[in-house]
Amino acid sequence: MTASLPGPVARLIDELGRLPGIGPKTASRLAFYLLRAPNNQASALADALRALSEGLVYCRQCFNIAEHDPCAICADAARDHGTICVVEEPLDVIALERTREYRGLYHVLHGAISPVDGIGPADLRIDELVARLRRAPVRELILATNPSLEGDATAMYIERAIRASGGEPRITRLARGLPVGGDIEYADQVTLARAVKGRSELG
Amino acid sequence: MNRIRLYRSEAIVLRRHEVGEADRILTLYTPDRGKLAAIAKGVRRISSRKSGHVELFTHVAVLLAAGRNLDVLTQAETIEPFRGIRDDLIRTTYAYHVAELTDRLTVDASPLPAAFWLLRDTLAALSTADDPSLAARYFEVRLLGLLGFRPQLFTCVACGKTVDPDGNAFSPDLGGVVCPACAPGHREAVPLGERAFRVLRFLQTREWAMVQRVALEPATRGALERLMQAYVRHILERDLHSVSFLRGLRRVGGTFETPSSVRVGGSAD
Ligand SMILES: [Zn+2]
Ligand SMILES: [Zn+2]
Repeated sequence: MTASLPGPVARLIDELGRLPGIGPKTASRLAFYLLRAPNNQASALADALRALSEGLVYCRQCFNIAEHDPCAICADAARDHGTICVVEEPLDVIALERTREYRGLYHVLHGAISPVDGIGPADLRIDELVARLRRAPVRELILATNPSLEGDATAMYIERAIRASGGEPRITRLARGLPVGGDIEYADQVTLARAVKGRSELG
Repeated sequence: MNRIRLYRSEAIVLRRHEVGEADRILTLYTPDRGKLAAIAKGVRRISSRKSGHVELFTHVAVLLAAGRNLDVLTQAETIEPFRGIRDDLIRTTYAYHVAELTDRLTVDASPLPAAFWLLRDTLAALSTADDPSLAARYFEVRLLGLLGFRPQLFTCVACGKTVDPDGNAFSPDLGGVVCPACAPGHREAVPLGERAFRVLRFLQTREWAMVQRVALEPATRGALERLMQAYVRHILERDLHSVSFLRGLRRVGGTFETPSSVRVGGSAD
């Protein structure tokens, strides 16, 4: 359907259509929106995209995406370097930073174990985490992988791998309980059982 | 206005992948409709009412709306979460294995209720059995049988003679045992010791209630695993992802499968 369009427009539609969650219709709509938008909007987007591939690096300590290596978090002496929080994705770092509750460092795995999809431990930054802990042992490692079967499997694997390498940090998992705004009657058994197990003192 | 056609089913979540902002496409295995794909909207949001109910390997009651391309999940309620599977990495891995095998060996919309109940019973066994590898082998032998790949364990697949338990080999290509006389002509066949042979027959002919009492020695366990792996590889023309994953686990963690978790005593004979 893009065959009759001018080359640059067709190319933009093709590229947009490759993005997750964007079908051909949405891609066309976005392309024509950009075409009609004030000139600086399209070029601002182009600049942002170019900066993405040219201006970003992976922090070699925590593997978060950053402008510099080491990243701003790893380089911050005011943060607690004795605690590492392990997350699946860079977006999880942003979510945790927004809480302002956590002052330690991170380690970004870039995914979770999923054997059916062929994603094993070697595809994640787990060896790097083990090596990092050997280099610089910490007091506590918080496993903040998603509360899903894949996230749980990843957390269990990491725990084993660290213990097998002789690492002795305290290893914790984010508390798993009921979502805020949810109804207990709708909670599944696993969530509810974990919430009961992880209940906390009032006051 | 079009009427939406709703239907209820029991299901086991075989796999899922993420689409859009917060949606997932689920691969469900059901008793009456076989394997089907359904979209679960918003389930990646932590506040979703449905998300915990459609976790992998959960036995769940679902209400689906028939859609043009994909059916849409409208309600989900856990029947059995198989919690034991979730709390132990080895059990999780075996659950991946049986789900992957089911997914790879079945096609959409070709119902086989017995395969559903076998899958459900196997997940139950995996979540509590002393030796989850035994439940995985039981599942393989039984599922292959239901799907027309029943391993021939009573007569030689080359000459047709009834076999003795000793000195045989197993040919993945022919899908059964080859007697000692025919074995030299079948180089693809893997040696099948008496013990492993007896366990295989036992898996094929007895119910899980009996099978679960079998205590496998490590050597027999390894032999059975390699044999079934070879047979599945021949049928699918590739290895399952879970096989290399299990191998990786053993390499890294050393003894994930601690001998103490396996009951001693009992017999397969
Ligand atoms: Zn960093
Ligand atoms: Zn023969």
